[in-house]
Amino acid sequence: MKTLLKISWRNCWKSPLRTGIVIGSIIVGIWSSIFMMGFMDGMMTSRKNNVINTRLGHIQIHSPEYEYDPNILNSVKDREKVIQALENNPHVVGYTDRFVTEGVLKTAREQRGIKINGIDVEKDAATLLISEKADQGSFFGEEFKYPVAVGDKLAKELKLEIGSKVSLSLTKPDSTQTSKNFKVAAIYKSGDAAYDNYNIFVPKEAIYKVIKSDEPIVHEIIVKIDDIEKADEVKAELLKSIKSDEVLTWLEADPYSAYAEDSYGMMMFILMTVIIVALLFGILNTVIMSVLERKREIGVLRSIGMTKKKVWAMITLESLIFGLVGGPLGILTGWATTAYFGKYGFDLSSYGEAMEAYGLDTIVYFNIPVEYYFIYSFLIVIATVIGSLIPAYIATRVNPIEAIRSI
Amino acid sequence: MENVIETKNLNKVFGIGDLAIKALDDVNFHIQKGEFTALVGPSGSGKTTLLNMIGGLDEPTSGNVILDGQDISQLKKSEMTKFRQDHIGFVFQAYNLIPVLSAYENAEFIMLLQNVPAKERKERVYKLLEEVGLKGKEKNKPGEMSGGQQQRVAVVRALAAQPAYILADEPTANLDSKSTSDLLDLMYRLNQEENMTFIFATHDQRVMDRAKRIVYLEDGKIIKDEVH
Repeated sequence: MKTLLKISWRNCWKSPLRTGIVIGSIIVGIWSSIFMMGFMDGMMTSRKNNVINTRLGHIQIHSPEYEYDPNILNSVKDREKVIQALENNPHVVGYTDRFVTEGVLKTAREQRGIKINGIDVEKDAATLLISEKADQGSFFGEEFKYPVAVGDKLAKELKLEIGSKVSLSLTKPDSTQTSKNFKVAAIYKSGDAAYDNYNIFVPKEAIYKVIKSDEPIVHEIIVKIDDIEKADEVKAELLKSIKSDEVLTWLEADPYSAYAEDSYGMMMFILMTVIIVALLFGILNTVIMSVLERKREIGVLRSIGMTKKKVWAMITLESLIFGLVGGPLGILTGWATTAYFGKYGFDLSSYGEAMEAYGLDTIVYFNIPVEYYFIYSFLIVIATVIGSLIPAYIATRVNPIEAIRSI
Repeated sequence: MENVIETKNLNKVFGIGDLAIKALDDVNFHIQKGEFTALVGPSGSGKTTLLNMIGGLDEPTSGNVILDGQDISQLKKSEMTKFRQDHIGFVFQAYNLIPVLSAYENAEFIMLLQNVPAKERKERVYKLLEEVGLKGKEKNKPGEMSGGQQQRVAVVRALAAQPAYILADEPTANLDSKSTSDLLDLMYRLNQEENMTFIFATHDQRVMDRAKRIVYLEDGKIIKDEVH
């Protein structure tokens, strides 16, 4: 084996330019795919964190009817029981209960359909980050009796600024309409333009006064837990005591996030497959050329007693050398790049608006799950072995007599 | 004397039907240990085909080839490969050393396939390289040696594995007079001193002049068999 390895290694380097190009292309291919994966994973993680920390939490609890008919009457059915279940669960690190209904926001010139989020500011701030996203003003000071926080995009479109007066219209529990003037106390920027354009925030007590409700009405309880991976487990635990309300994990509560997670996994797989297939054909092509150039040499090896198995092993080793030199270097450079941008971030602020439209941060911190490196390493070995099959087959078919005749 | 090679009613036909060419026609001959034999004849006379048969590289259309006491028609291909490795040494016209290996590594190559222990390999290779006048050239790659030197390495490669006999197909065709003379001296000496069996397929008069036995072939038949 040592001699076969020696022959294979030296044969690989007989044409340094060709070998250099093949190994270089393997390195660049793997590096670029890891870069892309790190970038994509970073964006996905950024979006996921944004969505969870500002909007969804890890778990949401609603009335079962709320998902299909989000009207004021479809509130959480057994709030006390839900709160008790949350208080008793060791994985729950925070929760906030919100009054959520659809309504209309009017200014002197325009009106918009919006979602009104009535929040308990302190409790909400302990669970989600939306109140920290105020770009102007704050959630909520003492200066206004009926304050409202609007999204940056909505504020721009309706030309609102701090102190602007707006009228909110909504349906009361008795199905009659009511309106109340609010003043813009904060303009927030969550990083998701579509969300900012649709969601406004008001203090829960203020909205209760508007609808003249003495009882707390809660439509949505947003829960944060200690580990995102335990969302399903915590949901199952909560469902043991919550019977009349619906418990959803963040992926269930936001179909777009679920779709993004699925499609991201698929994109990673496709990207990896494309690179591995390209690597396979690159190696296949090079080793076939090498075998065809050395047909006579291989014929002579066969004639002096080298078995087909050893010829096969020799060619497989040549193929493996390409993969085992190029693969780790590609992975190493890819890992180093990912680690760098994972620490310092990749600045995309020049594409800020486009990034925000998709709920993404303008600085992307690269990230790749460690298992991807192992999967990649495994696939490289498999690809190089597969890449050697045809050349090895050709090599073992070399007829020693033809080699001697060609002398 | 013991026969190391024996052919019985050996026939080889290439092609079929009207295009069939009889390369060997009922060849019966044997070679004994220690012979220094030249197979001669014009191109197409069948000498290379006969050499391929007795090298176990090609299968006869009919007849038997008995090598070192073994009828090779009974062997599977993998067994034949092993048989060649252990019993037959080849020296080719174009030397056919492995370009990426040094003289030493080329010379020990067949022994590596035979799993000969490292110490023994080293002893045999150094001794033989010294005998053929290549002491100090152990680390040279084929590309760094002359044709004569490469052919001597090829002879060492064949000899080091201690085969029953050595087949040499036009070994001097690419060599100048001096190298030819040196190589023939070497082979002749090994034949005389070590009783090594050599069979040449050749056109070269200088080889014929040294041969103890000359087998003449024409149209696939042995037409004359002379012992000098």
